[in-house]
Amino acid sequence: MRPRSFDVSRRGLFGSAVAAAALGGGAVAAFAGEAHAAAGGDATSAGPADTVYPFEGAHQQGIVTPSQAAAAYLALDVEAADGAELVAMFKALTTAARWLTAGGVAPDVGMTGTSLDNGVLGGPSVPADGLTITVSVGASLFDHRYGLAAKRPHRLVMMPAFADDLLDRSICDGDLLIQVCADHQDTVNRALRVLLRETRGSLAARWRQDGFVSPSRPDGAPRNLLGFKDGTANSAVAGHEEELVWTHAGGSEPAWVEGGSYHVVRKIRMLVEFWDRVSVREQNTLIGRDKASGAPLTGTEESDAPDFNTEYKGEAIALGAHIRLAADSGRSATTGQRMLRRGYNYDAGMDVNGNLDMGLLFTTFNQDLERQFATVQRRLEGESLADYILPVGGGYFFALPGVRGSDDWLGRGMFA
Amino acid sequence: MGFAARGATARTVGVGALVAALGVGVLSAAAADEASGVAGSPVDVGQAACGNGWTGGSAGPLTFALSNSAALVQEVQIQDVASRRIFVDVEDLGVGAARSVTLALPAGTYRFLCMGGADGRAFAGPSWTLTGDYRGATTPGVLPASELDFIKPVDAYSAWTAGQLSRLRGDVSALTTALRRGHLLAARHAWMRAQRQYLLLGAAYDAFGDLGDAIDSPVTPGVAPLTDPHLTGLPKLEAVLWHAKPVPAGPRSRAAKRARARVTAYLRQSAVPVARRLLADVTKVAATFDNPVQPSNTDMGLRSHEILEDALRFELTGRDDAGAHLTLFDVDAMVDATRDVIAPLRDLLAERDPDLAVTDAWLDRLARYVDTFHRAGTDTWTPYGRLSIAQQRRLESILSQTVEYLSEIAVVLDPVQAGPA
Repeated sequence: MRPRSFDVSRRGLFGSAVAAAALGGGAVAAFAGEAHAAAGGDATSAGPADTVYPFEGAHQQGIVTPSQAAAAYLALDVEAADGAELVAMFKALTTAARWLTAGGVAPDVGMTGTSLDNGVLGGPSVPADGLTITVSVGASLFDHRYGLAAKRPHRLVMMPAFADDLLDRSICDGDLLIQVCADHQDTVNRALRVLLRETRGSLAARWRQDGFVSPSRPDGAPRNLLGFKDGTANSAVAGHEEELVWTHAGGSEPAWVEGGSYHVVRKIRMLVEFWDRVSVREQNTLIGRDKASGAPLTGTEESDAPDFNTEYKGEAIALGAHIRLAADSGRSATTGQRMLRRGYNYDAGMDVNGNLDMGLLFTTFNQDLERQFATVQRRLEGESLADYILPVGGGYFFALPGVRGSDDWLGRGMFA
Repeated sequence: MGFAARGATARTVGVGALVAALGVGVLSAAAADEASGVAGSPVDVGQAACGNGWTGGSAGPLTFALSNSAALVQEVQIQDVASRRIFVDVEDLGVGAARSVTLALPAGTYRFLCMGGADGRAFAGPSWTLTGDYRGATTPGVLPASELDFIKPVDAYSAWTAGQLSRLRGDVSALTTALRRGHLLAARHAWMRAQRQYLLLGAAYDAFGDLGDAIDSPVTPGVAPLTDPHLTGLPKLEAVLWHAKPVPAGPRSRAAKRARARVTAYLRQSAVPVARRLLADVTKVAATFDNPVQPSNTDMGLRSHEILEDALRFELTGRDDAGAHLTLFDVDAMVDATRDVIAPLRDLLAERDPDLAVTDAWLDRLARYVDTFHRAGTDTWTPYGRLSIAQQRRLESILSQTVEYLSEIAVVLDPVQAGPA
């Protein structure tokens, strides 16, 4: 037997078959039906109320997966003593993520230890609940500690402070980012606790923020906490994931990045007290859309493409409007800058002065950080909306390629 | 070899495989027992009827609906006949009650054990076999520990504690002397020896009752320790000793002499009475300890992780700091206290905890890291508050992982009723 002194994953060593055993009759019925694609395209519905996203694939889940209602973002620093412990940590994360996302009860440790499960979702019939666990790495993981410098994804750097940022570095960056999303908050809570417990000796939490996606009100893209529909432009990315979302090996990128994605998280506080004291007309002008319908000010429907051509339409969408700056002078010219956004609202209570601490966990997945997110972000510098929002935290990460088979594990390519 | 099956069990079971596994092993078993309304193959576990209703089947996932037809509360186990390992222990199954249990077993010969509590007999049901080549994960079994197994360790630990108490008495006596002489640094050194000696008794706290609280009273949150009227014993002395400022040695000036005299007077007035009371309390504990209370069997297992759970909760948060800022010194002693609790359990653990070496390795790692904040050969420890955030996180991470492993000791040593011979 190999030395186990570096093995921090013994809790997760038992496979999932016992989990299967413990599923009651109800679960049998739920799984027995022929798997069919859910609205998201790659999910299997395990019953009227449950969604299971397959854990294995070329890409991780939680990227092009339709946004679930609840999320937790957890940034951690690696405390592993050496490369072997780092590998053990990635394997432990993989094992736990595998059984958690599959639904069902935890692997059975019998009478040899405390339960792997915290029981937040009860049992024995435990839904997958649309759970996805997305693991990304930060630039700091590729420093001197683990000899991974040559494996750093080419564009992965520490997130710089942009002109309008007021970053608190204690809620920025991290060696690792774990994004946990599910249809309900309790499922996120259970998964988060299991993942932390499986990796106590090798990961130390750095910052965390939970988020939520509001339901459509009354329809279309869900609203952010400024009251505007957010994410309407995502439809322009669909079908172009190979050019806009997924990183590819070759060129300046190391071979292992194939199928990954640059994962940008920005904790953007919204100064909602101030915002609520601004007229809706002015808010519409700042954004460039109609607050009620979500339509661009040059259109009537949310789905209408904004017309930024000032020659014909004047300045219906003001020159400094958020959507104009974000889109630059026209979509066709900036196709390669489009990015997949997957934001979550956050509500973190009050600050010490009694102001609401809430806003947006702006999240985007990019094939090329510089060409996409950073370019657009620089165009937004000095926008009028900047008076009402304040980027305070987050970081640049790289979402690892997917786990491609039963023997594969998250991050394996880095160690090849 | 609880972990020998690991390579195989690390196998992925995707959704498809889940369905397959359910289809093969469980469907018949998962059907609810008509009589009890509980899921699983019905098995009677009522005393002499022990095991009725189940005659064996295929290796793999199993669900049993255990029902108690006897007039006694039952404790039920499933035992591998050859190795005597058990896989399930259902305690307190009431009269007429039914409970569903789920596990996965490899091919082999097993039996149910049905024990009727203190007054009832222990029955073993007929042996049954599971056949077939099942390659999925199975429920690990344990060699159960019985109350009898704890007699030796508890006796050994009690004897050890009695010896430690006498050493503690010596340390507190030396502390009292140093305070009476008014030597601040010597008194601080003596206090550290006494504090460490007391922390080493970790597992025995509950056994000391009110005297334990008097020796080591809790620090009241939000109250300055020096003026906290509820503070007694070691923390009270800590507050006094670290409030006083040492006078630099060397200058024989009149002012230095006066300053030293002030410190001496302060110690005699504020600390000596506290130390006298502490000495009396420790003496009383040492005299009466092996008389009424011993640590119970369960205590020893639980204390294996609870001492360091206390470190996480009261030391790393600063709650137990009455002024000395010796958090890391305390944690260092608590690691040794944990080792001292485990020591008499080692024989029991050797057979039952395949991960004991891992647990030991993490205790060592914790001790090594804590020791990096100690200037060797001195009383100087870096105050916890001076650790960088990264160092605090690392300490928390190592300590947390260590208690995760330690917590398994209480589970594998949780005594169960022994089956029939």
